[in-house]
Amino acid sequence: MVFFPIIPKKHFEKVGAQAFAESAPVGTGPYKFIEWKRDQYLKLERFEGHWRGQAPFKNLIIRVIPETSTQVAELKTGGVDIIRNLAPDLIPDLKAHPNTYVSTAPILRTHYVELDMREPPFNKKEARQAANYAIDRQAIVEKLMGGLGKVVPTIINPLAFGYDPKVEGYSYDPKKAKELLKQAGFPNGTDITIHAGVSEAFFRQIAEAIAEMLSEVGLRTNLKVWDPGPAWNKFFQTEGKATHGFYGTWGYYSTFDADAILHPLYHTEPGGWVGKWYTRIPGLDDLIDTGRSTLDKDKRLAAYTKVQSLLKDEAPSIFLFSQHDMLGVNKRVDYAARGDEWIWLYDAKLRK
Amino acid sequence: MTAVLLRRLLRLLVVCFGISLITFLLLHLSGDPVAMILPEATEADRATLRETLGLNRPLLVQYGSFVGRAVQGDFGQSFFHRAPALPLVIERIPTTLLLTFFALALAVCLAIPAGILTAVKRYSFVDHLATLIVLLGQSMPVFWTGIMLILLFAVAWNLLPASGWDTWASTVLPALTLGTFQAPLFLRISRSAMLEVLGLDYVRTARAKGLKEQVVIIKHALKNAAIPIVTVIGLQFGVLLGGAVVTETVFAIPGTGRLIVRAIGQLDFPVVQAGVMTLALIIVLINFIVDVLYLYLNPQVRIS
Repeated sequence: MVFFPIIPKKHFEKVGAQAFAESAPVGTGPYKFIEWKRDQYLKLERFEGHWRGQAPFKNLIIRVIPETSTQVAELKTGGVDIIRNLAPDLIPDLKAHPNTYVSTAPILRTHYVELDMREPPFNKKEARQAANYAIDRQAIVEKLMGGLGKVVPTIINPLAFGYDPKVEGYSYDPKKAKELLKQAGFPNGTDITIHAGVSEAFFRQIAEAIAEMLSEVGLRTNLKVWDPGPAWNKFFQTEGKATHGFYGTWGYYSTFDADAILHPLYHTEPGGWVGKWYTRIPGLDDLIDTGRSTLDKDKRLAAYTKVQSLLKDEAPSIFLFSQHDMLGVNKRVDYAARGDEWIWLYDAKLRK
Repeated sequence: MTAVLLRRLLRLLVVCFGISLITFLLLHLSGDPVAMILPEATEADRATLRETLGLNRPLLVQYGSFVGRAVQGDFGQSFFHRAPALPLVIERIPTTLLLTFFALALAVCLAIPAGILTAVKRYSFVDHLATLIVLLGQSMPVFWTGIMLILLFAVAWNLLPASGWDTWASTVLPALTLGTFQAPLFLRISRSAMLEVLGLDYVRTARAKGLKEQVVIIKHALKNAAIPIVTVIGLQFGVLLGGAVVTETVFAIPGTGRLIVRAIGQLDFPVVQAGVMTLALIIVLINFIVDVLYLYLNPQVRIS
């Protein structure tokens, strides 16, 4: 959960923080630093005296290639050996190509639509539940994510500590959604605006599908799509007031614990992430605090079990699905994707 | 002549000042960088950072100190990279200039002879073929051309690297991509400029004197047709300096365009300002050079 790299004190004090970060870092890993060029590459070389034994490759270059099609071209021609964050629609192509294969693993990253509980329509519980019944999650996972995802009952990922398998998620039930919307006081539906922060191309398709499904039950959605930068700013500066909710994903900081998503998304304390603006559920803050203030596993589990039934009922978000880490790998190399999204190349092997 | 040049130089200074003001105002309208740097923080923490960055002062004061430091070459520290902003831009200028230069050189070498040829042989098969190529060249978006070239030259034939900017071989495809997009424009301009000039009396006179056709075209006609061509090349140079973002992205080239576009996304004010001002200065200088070229090409400009 906590990550402390070890660095040599004397060296750090000698070169200073800036140089240590940019030109003279020293750590305990199997590779040593050679050169870093901003936005181009990081060059590393095997450290022969590593305590676990030699790493599998002499030279390691980590390159920055912004365009996905270019990454794929480099992978196929052997210009690079591993590419990250594949789009699902590229997978069939890379599986079929003679030089490449695909490795995937379920990860913590969980998709959601955070709903603004302070204003109509989502200040009404029925409206929030309606939004949850409106989404055909399985169809999105199958059609837009190549099946590489898993519907989550609430926001807690099954991989995380605190997950309660007994809580059942919302089914896809547009009829019930319309009925609930009527109960919330919107018999003819209502117009809403949803913002989407899109850091991967296929997130946009997911956001569009969600907007379409919401519109079908009467939550007529005006979708606004943003790159991560300006979107962030929009949510925080306007305190989320410009929007009825936003579509996003959360990676748990690669920490396999319920708290890593509950606190940023739903806790309302000042200085927190988005919960302070969007979420208003009496008692939820206390439960999250209980979960994070003790090391007693049973007490924590009990708190999170309560949290999940509360979340299910209150529906502060449209709960969606988790996704997979998707790597494209050249057949020269043996490497498997990991559940924590790290890439540990010490574990990679050259095939021959 | 000196007066004309001085007047133009003064105008350029005014342009630079205007650009700095517009960039500054637009940036400050675009959002709050502090909210971006500290997404999870209390208002007190944000206020402290705002003060450290000097963003709590009145806009006019901020602009004044920005201009005051900028004329000395100090654009402040990048919010994101934790390094002085101007060197971040400067270290990318050679890359961008080289790419721009290659692309334009390629486009000019291909398009201008072709433009002259199609003007001289108007409505011939060559002319029609060129029209078709122009249409194709301008209809292909840069990112598509780039990816197609990668698929052909790197993936299918394995002749050139797919991306990067570390060897001469890696510069070929990006230059070709940008050049392909620029060439049709130059071809159209040189064709129409030549057509206009070829119909004029002095060309007929030159022919009547019995001069060789090549001499008439190259020496007499081309020099007068050159003004719009030089203008457009100068303008395109400016466009490519900051506007080659797509090509830079497709081929993973660390150019200024990509740096600035990303800095805008990060609300990294110092980098955007340093980048825009540096490019503006280069473009303004190029315009000045184009102006000087006019003086050489067209004596009329010297008098007015």
